[in-house]
Amino acid sequence: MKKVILFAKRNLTEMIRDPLLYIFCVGFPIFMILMFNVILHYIPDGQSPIFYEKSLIPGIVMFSYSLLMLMSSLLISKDRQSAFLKRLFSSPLKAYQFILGYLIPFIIVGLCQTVICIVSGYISGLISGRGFVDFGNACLLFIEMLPMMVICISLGMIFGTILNDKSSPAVSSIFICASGILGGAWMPLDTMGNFEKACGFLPFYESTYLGRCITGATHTPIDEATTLNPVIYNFSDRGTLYLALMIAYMVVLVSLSLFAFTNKMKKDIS
Amino acid sequence: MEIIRVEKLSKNYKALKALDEVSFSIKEGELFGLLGVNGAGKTTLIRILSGLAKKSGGDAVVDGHPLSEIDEIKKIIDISPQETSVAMNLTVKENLFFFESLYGSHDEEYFNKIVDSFSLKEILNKRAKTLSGGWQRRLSIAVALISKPKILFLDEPTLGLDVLIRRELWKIIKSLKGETTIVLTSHYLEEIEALCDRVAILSSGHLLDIGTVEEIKEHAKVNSFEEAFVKIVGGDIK
Ligand SMILES: Nc1ncnc2c1ncn2[C@@H]1O[C@H](COP(=O)(O)OP(=O)(O)O)[C@@H](O)[C@H]1O
Ligand SMILES: [Mg+2]
Repeated sequence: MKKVILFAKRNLTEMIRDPLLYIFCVGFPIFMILMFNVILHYIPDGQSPIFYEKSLIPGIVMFSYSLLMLMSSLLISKDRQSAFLKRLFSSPLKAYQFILGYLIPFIIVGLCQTVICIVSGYISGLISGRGFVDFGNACLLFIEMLPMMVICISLGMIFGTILNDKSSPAVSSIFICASGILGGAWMPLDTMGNFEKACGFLPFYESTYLGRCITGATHTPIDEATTLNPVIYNFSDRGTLYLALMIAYMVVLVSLSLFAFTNKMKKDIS
Repeated sequence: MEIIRVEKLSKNYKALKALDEVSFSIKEGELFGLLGVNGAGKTTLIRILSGLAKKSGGDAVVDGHPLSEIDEIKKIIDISPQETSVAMNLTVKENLFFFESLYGSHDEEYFNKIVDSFSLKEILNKRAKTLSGGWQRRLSIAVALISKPKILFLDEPTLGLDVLIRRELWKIIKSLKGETTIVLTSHYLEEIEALCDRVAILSSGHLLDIGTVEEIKEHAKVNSFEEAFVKIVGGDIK
């Protein structure tokens, strides 16, 4: 465990010293929240509840993790490129210690991101008067988002392991786009019928949906009735399915990243 | 007492025989040189002995452990690879700490000794990536030593460095003589001549000769080490 912590500390230091971390993982989510506040200013009230804090923040948190995915794929592919990691392969560090050593600092950064997004949402909700969530639900939202965080970090670790430092950010960007659109952060998927259902089976939308159930967000109005009586995201709709799916994705992707890294390590030593 | 024994060690990369039944042994405390032109198989040999590559045939015993017990071997060796390999975003001090803790616990006295002998004191708080190539290489060798390895592998330690830095590194390497068994590869004859107690000459995966520089000159019946090398390796250098 001491060696894991040692390696994790090195990776955390490496990330903290990378200005990209602040731009991507902290700056960007906050920028998004500000931007949607500006957009809301120009849209008639009640038209786009998807941009209200209750809807937006779960989406932003989910999206911020996809930037974390980029960071993790970058760090690992860069490490693989350098002789540093190869040298570590001749040290007493074992494969699982490498994985944990990478995972832990990303989780720490991810937790900070989540707190920053939720607090920003709270402040934004306070200023705009639309409100956000109480402390209890904020904690619940925080916990609900954890599997999504692990999913994104695992994806990043897989990309970083199997791709080089040129193509891994490219592939990560595809996933960043995908999470922005298919994750429903700012796309009113709930007006899109079967498309929404399809997105529900990809690993992004579940966390957004579940998060909105927790914040008590309202669906995008599709006719006069729903404009007058907004429908709230309801856990009993698809919640259990999405929760199960999200956890399944997490388990599968964590295992895959373990497998990919161990395999790569074996292949490098051949 | 011998600390490394290599027995008919082979390594094939597809049809290429990077090492072909190489056998020799290295004594404890020795500064042993592996000499050969580029592609002779020096790096391959060191990579196998340090667990960074798998053998294709034969075996080697390192400090009593056959290669199958590589996890045990990893605890007592360290390697400074051909390419500089330090964590670029960490400072010199952090790099030293990292590699020291990876293998054991902190020993202030030894730590300071390494810092002194590599003259790293002034740059302790500089990040590795801001250092020049020569200083990065110096650090790369220093972090390999900080773990107090019983055996240290130095793969082309002065490759691409200018004469002055090379001379200084030689001085440092010489000062380590005796305490640690050092296996050093090089294709610079003068480097091997200046540093090594004994030398093995490798060419295309074959071990052609082994002995002290004087012995090798005698074997080849010539007066200079360079002539001896050319004579022994023969057709491989044109
Ligand atoms: N991973 C590899 N795959 C295929 N061939 C390799 C690999 N590593 C080394 N070789 C080949 O093995 C031979 C010995 O290489 P190497 O041990 O690096 O030589 P040296 O260190 O003496 O310059 C060379 O012909 C090289 O091309
Ligand atoms: Mg080499």
